[in-house]
Amino acid sequence: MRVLFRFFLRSFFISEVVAQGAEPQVLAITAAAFFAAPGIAICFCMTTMGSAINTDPVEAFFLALSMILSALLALVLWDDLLPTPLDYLILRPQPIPWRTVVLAKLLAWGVLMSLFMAVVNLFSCSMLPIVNTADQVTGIYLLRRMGAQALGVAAGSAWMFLWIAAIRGAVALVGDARQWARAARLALTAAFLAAIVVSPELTEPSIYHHLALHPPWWCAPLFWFLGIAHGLNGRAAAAWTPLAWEGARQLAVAVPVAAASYGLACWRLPRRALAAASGRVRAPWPSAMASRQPRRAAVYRFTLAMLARSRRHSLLLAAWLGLALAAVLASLASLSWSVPSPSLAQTDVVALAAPLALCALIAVGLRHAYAIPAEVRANWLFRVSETEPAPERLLAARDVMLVLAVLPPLVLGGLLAWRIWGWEAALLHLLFAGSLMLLCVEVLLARFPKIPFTCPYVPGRANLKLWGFGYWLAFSTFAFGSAAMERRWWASPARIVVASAMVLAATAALRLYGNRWRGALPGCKFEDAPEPVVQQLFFGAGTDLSRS
Amino acid sequence: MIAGLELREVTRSFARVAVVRGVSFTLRPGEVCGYLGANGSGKTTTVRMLTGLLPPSSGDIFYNGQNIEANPGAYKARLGYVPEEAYLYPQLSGVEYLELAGGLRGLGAAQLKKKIGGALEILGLSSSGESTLDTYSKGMKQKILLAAAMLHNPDLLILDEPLSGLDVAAVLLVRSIFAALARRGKIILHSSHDMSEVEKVCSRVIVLHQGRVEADDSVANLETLTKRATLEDVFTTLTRQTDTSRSAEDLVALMET
Repeated sequence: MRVLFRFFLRSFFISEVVAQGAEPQVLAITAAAFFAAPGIAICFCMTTMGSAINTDPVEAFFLALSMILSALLALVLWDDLLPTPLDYLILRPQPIPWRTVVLAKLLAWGVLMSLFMAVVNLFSCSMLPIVNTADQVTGIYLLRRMGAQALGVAAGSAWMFLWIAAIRGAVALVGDARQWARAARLALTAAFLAAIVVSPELTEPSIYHHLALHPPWWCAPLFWFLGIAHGLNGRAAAAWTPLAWEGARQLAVAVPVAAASYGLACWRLPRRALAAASGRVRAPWPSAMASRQPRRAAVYRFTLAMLARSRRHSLLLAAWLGLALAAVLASLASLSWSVPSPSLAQTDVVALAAPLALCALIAVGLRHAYAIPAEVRANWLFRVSETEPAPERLLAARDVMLVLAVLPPLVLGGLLAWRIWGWEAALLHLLFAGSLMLLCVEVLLARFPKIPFTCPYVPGRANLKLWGFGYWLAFSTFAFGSAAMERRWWASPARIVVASAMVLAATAALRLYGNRWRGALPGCKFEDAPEPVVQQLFFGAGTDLSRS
Repeated sequence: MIAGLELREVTRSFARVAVVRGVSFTLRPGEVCGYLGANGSGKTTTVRMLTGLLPPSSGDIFYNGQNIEANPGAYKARLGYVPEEAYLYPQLSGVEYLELAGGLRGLGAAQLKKKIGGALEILGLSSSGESTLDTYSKGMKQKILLAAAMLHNPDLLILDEPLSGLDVAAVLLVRSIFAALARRGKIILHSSHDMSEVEKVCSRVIVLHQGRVEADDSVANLETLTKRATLEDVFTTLTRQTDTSRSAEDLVALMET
């Protein structure tokens, strides 16, 4: 049991999705530092604020963060939630009862979740009651408040985790509906990531109090478990008591549902492990929009299929989609506050920038995903069939970006603009935003010499420490700067037309440059060299390990 | 100009250790040649150089009299390759993989559909064509690789352990495919360490030992020259293999301690 427990716990850190080839201990320490950082930073900031501090909104934020992170952890390690068919095939012939394997898995999950939640909440649970000067308490009452917050966090996180485990079990029971399961998982990941980006809004007292008075359905669970924390800490208003009881009731429902679903999936696992999975798949829907050039179309379809089916790439894309979703949610919120709908010239810049932000974040996500290899040893197929110059194959990466990063934001933005401002304004908005989106795609792929997923990844190329601020500035200028200009020029539409024409001209020039650059390449790039400083240390350079 | 594939003093080193040393041979159209060698003898490295995956450290490779480095695209257009390990994209279905392989060779959608449908039917994979490759057995993956290598009707087929994992019926089919291709003037280089298989399939055998060509002749001639009854005995003699029964006894005894 102990050996199995350690094996499963370790397997969480060596998961292909989390970090291939990373040292588990290093990964654990890095992750712990990363997730403890918000607690340390916020508590430190609050101690320096002086005067009367009410920590209720911050406590709500940490509860929300814990619930979201517990769900995300379960989603990232989705395949490891249940014992896998491979676990069954390897462990079943050993003299170990199957229930011991399942128990070891559950124990490993319990320990992982407890450690994770402790890391996220240690500082907030212990410091916030001390920092709270609104109703200062000492001694046993202080400990009671710390314990209440910890129990609220534990209950909320457990509730989220139990529901994800229940969904995982149900998906495993359904069996062949892999595409739907994958899509649901990615949508949940993107939604939770967006929630992380939006959740600091809770720390704004006016928003917190507004939500607490009338909790909408989408954040009701947060207030159930906040009700538990407030109910236990002894200073709750009467309004929190029914919420606390609702939280307890929901937890009582989640436990048997998750146990039934999970248990049934584990019981059915042997049958699934031994039965050959049909694994039938259908081509992703944009595949029909492939180019007529066979090589370009082949790479285009390959890229779409890998994005849809490779776990690592789809999760990466979901993460970027989550950021994009957060940007859109913020814009929609700013629009919904303005009733009646304002004219375009009065609209919040954030709302106008939504399609551009969506496009930029998805395009950057795609560009990031392209650079991460999938089955790098299988790239021989591309290498031995490199019979033509590179451009035709390389253009497929742009085709995918146009279909996934430009088309949906353009259509959504156009529909929204038509609904709010009418068709004339929508057309101009589409022209301006569309030309900028095309420019964005050209900039991102101007000197990209690889077929997506076929080249080994050398980390550190983006050099975020050095260029991070520059990237952020470029993104802000692209999305919000352009939207501000559009709003300013709105009075004279001719200006928008001229500006769009100039952007399109720049796009055409960049495309010409890119085509010439690709045309001069001897072939696509399948090997990536490390940074010069690494080469000088002889790490990687000249050590070809391909032996017969 | 020599029609076919010619290697002249090809050498490949890794970290200054020569793995393939001055290998020279010529393969002519219609020839099915076995490329034999023990593990680590340099077979796969030779194959990788022949497919353009690895450049030789020295020496030249010619195809129809032209150095393959002068116009690698034209050479690769005539080349079909089955690698030793079935490195595929497990996320793709069998049909999608073949569409990718054919598309990369410039085959149009209609032509590909016809070829892929027919190939899957003949290889007995029609029912699993839409399933992802991670659900395929080793033999099924090998069949997909064979089909992918032949889609563009290559003149030169380089096959590294192509029969590994195939069932008996598939092995018989592949043998017949080799014969049919040879009759059409294709060159087939069959790299393997399965002596009996090479004996049945190949008209000529090249034996590689520690990166050098130890022998290059027909199976019958090699058996006559070395005065051995089977190709396996010829190989053991040429590559100076150790006494396997003694090694086996030693290993079993070690495990009993």
